[in-house]
Amino acid sequence: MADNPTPQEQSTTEPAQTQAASRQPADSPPARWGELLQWLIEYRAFILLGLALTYAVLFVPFFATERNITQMTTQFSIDGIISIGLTILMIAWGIDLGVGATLALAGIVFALSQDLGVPAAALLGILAGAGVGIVNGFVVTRMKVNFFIATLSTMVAVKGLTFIISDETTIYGHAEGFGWMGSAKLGLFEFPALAFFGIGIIAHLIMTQTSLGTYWYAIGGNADASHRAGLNVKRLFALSFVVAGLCSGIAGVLLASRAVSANPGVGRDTALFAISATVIGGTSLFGGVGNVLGAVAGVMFLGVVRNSLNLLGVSAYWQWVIQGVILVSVVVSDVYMNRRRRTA
Amino acid sequence: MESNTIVEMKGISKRFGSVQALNQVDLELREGEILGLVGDNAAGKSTLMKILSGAHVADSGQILINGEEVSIRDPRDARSCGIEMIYQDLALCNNLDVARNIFLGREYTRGLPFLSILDKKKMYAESAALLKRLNINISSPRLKVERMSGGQRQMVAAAKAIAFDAKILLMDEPTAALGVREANTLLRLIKDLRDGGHSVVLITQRVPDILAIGDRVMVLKGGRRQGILNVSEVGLDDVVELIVRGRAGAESEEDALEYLSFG
Repeated sequence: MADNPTPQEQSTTEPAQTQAASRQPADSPPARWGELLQWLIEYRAFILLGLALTYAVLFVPFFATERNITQMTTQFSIDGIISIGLTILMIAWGIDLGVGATLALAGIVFALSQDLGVPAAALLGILAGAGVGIVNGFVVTRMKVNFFIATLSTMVAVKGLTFIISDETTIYGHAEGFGWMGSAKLGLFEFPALAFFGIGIIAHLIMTQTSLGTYWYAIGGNADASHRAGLNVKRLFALSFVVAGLCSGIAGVLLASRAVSANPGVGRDTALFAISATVIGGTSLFGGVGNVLGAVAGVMFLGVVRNSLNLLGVSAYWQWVIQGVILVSVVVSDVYMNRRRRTA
Repeated sequence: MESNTIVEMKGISKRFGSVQALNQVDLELREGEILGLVGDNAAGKSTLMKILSGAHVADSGQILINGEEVSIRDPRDARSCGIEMIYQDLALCNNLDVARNIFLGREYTRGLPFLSILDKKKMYAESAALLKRLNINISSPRLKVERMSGGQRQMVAAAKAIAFDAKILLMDEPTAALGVREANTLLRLIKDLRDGGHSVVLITQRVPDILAIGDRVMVLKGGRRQGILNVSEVGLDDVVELIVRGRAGAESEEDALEYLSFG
């Protein structure tokens, strides 16, 4: 026994050094710089939003007018509500490519059932969106289909269904109060913008203050560990698809109410805008990382850019190019950050 | 020192396809001891512990906790017996902070039953107290695990296990990926846990670790128990000899060298 170079001796003789060594990764100067970089990337949406707003207010004619602010906020808010749902879904490490189709279905269901009264019809439209989410959740977690394929398939099916039940035509709102949700105004903001900010705050509180939010982060970060900790990973994952569907449903109803009509063909660019805003907002494509307030800022940033380009008379095609470039650069930074995280 | 046997595994056998991973293995873990479990690769160490923690189910054999036979079919059964396994590939969520990891699935909450609000203050306070009690050097329970070293992560995993009254800790190669200092800090924590009344089974390739902090050491080879030794009565050579016993002389000498060089 005596001739063994036992670790016990070392462990009892150098506690101070051991402490210093184990503290080093969190507080050393290089880590501080890494922390700053990480902080900048995490809150990039707020920085981008600040820059875009400054530019737009100073250099874009008619940007800072009451009418433009009202219109712009309503525009980005409808897609923005979807971004909030996608943020939660993507934190749980899923994605839904069919949010645009769900948006269209919800609008059509809302318009078709308007004779039941607007509140009931709105509820049905929203439930239709949630229903699509339930189907997605079921297909992904029970039938174990990859979520890209699953949501792409549901998207096609939902699109077909939307055209069938609408008879391929626009359905106009005739019930009393059909357009109220889309146009009611409080100060500068119309109802969709208020709904967007309200849902954003609620979602933020759920993700940061409740056990449910923690679970969504947990399953997106390490599904295995979450399972070992006793979480019902499948049910939580399925529920995140329902949240995305629910938000798409709300957005669809608001859009139809605003247009006082429901068109089965809307929502083609919705997924691109919503996913871009979410990723700009700091949500990772690789799960477990993201925050709702960032997504709200990401939505506002893209909204300001889109609105400014319109006011400056930039053609729609160039706008697509610009939006594509923004998305690619954000995705590249996400891939870079993810690699850093995995090797850290 | 005589003390009660807290875990008894009797005649445990397990077969994976054509491989007999465990063959009639017995194990006794006493209350408040560190039992080392050593042996070559594929000796059956991890399989035996996975059976005790409910990750595998034995083909035959009995498990007794405090003298009473129990049925452990999944990790939840094991947990209700006070058994917690700390895995080599850590069961932590790197994107969550220390407190959220410790309390994952068992959060303190208040308010609405359908949407329970986290009692973060209580979780952070208790986590900080736990880290302090275990002498774990992590400056704040608000730190995310992804920002920590391998040793710190192991210690968070251990804290997570004992936060909820696990009396029996199973650790699979906890020091394997650590540097010397971090490994020593972790070994000291394991010793503190033992002194605090926990019983620990420590699977390891590093025999000197066991000799430093363990009470007894059990040797497995080819799915069979080779023997169990009191640490206070043996040295490194005795253990290594038992690990490699039964092989051709020349080969075993080489193997023995390899083991000795771990120290």
